[in-house]
Amino acid sequence: VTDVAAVTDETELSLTTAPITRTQIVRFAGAAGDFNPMHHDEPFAQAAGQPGVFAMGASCRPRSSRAPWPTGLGART
Amino acid sequence: VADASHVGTVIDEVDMPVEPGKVREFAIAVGDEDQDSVPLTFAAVASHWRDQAAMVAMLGLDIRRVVVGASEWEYGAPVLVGDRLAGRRIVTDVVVKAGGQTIITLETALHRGDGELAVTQRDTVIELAP
Repeated sequence: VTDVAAVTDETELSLTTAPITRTQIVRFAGAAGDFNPMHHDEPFAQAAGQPGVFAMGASCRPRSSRAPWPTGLGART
Repeated sequence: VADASHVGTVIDEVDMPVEPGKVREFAIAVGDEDQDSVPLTFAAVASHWRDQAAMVAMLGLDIRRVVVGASEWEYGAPVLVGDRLAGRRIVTDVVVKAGGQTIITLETALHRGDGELAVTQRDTVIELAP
């Protein structure tokens, strides 16, 4: 379970998603063009000292994108 | 090895069309119900049009120790499907910690086709200590 919070000057969004699958990670890799092997290549990630592949941070944050483009606001995630 | 001398360096430039097919693909990948509007973090796509390996090499980083610390988006004019996003990625800060960890801040101001600033993306890249 992943908790994600996105904060703008005027709103605070918080949501919880289901566990992330490898298929979701690979889908985001293709859609965003993020082919860092840490996110899809298990032996590579393990050689780098990680227990396995892990999702991109940005693959979670855009879930707050249901909000309208916050013109004029400084938005941080 | 990245150090303060890199501040101000232009890493690369990007100029990307905001194509309807890519917008839909990205919206699905991030679980967005509206698959025809440009997601707020669509700038991530422009990010990966750039050569990340070249950035890592330019800054002398060890990719095995590089993680993304944070990303921040500051919004200006809205972007619609069919527009463009274009901008330069610039090093704005490099901090080398005593333990050997390096924290690099990169900023990309992405402009629409008409020149209006659409979104400024700031990325914090961390090279962990060896």
